[in-house]
Amino acid sequence: MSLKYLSKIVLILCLGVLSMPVAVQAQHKEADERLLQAASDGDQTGLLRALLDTASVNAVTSEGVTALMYAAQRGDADMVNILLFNGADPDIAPANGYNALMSACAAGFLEVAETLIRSGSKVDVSDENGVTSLMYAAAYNQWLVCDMLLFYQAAVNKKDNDSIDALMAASYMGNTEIAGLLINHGANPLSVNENGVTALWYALKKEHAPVIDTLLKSGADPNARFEGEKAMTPVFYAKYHGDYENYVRLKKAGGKSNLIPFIPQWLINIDVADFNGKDYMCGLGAGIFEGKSATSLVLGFNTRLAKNKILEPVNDHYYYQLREGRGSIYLQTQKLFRLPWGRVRFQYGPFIGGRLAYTFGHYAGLERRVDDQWLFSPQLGFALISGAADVRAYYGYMNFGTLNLSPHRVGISLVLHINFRRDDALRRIFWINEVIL
Amino acid sequence: MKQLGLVGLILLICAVFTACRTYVSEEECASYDYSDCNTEKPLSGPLNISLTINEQYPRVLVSLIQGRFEEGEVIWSDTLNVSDHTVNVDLNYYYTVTATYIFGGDTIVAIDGDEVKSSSEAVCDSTCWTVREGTADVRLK
Repeated sequence: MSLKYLSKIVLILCLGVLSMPVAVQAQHKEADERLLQAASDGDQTGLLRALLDTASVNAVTSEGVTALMYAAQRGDADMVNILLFNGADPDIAPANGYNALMSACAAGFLEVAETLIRSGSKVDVSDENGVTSLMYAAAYNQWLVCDMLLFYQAAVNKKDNDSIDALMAASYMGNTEIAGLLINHGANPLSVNENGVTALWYALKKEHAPVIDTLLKSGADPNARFEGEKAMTPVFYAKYHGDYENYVRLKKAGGKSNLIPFIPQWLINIDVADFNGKDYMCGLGAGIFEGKSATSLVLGFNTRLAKNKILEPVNDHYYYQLREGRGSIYLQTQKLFRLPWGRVRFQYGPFIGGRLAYTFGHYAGLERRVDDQWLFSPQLGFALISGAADVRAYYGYMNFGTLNLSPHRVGISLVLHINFRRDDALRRIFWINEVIL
Repeated sequence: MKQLGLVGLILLICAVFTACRTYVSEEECASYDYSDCNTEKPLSGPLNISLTINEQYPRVLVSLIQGRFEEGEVIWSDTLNVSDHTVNVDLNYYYTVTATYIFGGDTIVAIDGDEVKSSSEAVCDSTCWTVREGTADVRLK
């Protein structure tokens, strides 16, 4: 062997030795990718081969997902066991913190979830939103998983970043069994989230009657207020939304409606028209409206827009035809009777009322003025009622005592309601609903 | 609060409309069209009288009173057979018009009154005068 040939062999061997780590590294990476792909595809043989080809059992994808997470997500208990046997870390999680145990619990893979816990997965670890495996199981109606997690001492009252706990999640989902299970393991039915909302509120909003029963029996407060709506108690809420079944349920449990018996509102009364065939008046008034009794009291003024021609007898065959301008200041009260067939925000019904008016006026061309007089006008009408405004049509008897003017009149009023407080419109609607429920 | 805002808006609109008056800037005065401006102070104005003239009442006795019916002075009287008649009267007085309708044994005296007045407005360096016509509707109802 010549020296030249020997030197070539030495050079090749040196290059081979130097390039070995790079080749091995590439081989490992390729094996990792095959491992993750096999786990994702459920290919157990491929997974085993990748492991034999020195794939890292804790290899992660660019998103941070491990083979164990894939296997757990698919509920593949055998693959999970293989991976754990080969040293997979069950607590590795991607940036969002959603680990293998959480995915198994959410999907209801009991065996996988229990295997992970027995292999050291921490039961109460939470993801980036503060959500634990128990919360996921409760939110996804996984009763058996919840039971298992509680057996392994999962923290039943732990809250997520929005202060929502597992019981609230179960209540929102309407799962009575899970709610009961959580309560039996010490879940606090009085717990509130950051908005002051309790589990009872969640159940009520979704109208989950059995959960409401369970919560009430477990000591949930039927009078716990929703912080965002201070006027709202659960009873108020149920009634406001026409949920009669839960309204009765909450009342039986001692719930109160938190309603003040007197709901005053400012009121603007626009007399769009008060007329008969020969006379037309319009006006404006202001007053108060009491929402519970649906009674209004208005002080107003109305007037003719143009003078009206009236006949004044001098004797049996001699008359003056005068042009009479007339106005009146009045005090008016009306009481509405809401009919029970309306809707939550729109009702209707008859009303009775009366107007005590002081009328006065003048005649065109005369020094003499219209005789001032006090008159009482009974009213009977019908109203279309909403939270902000009513439209009222009525018949009224108002006898001015003029010869050719009928005392029978009809009127149309527009009534605007202005609240003292923000809650009052809500309260008024509540009382309107009182006749519906 | 929304309703209060609405009421406020209505009041504001009313205020704007009632406060309207002619405003001419100094620049506009140079080219202002005075054709609609009566710079001579008027001495009299029209009082328009409306009557009911038909087969039943072909002629109606009309009286014009300066002042009110009870105490005023009759300044003109005539029997008219037209539905609309205009009388030129001195400005800034209140006038009462009576129309006497007689049919069968019944008499109806229709009475109405109005003021005929002048008003002025300063536009640039001039005073523009306007007359508010009077109307007396003594037609039968």
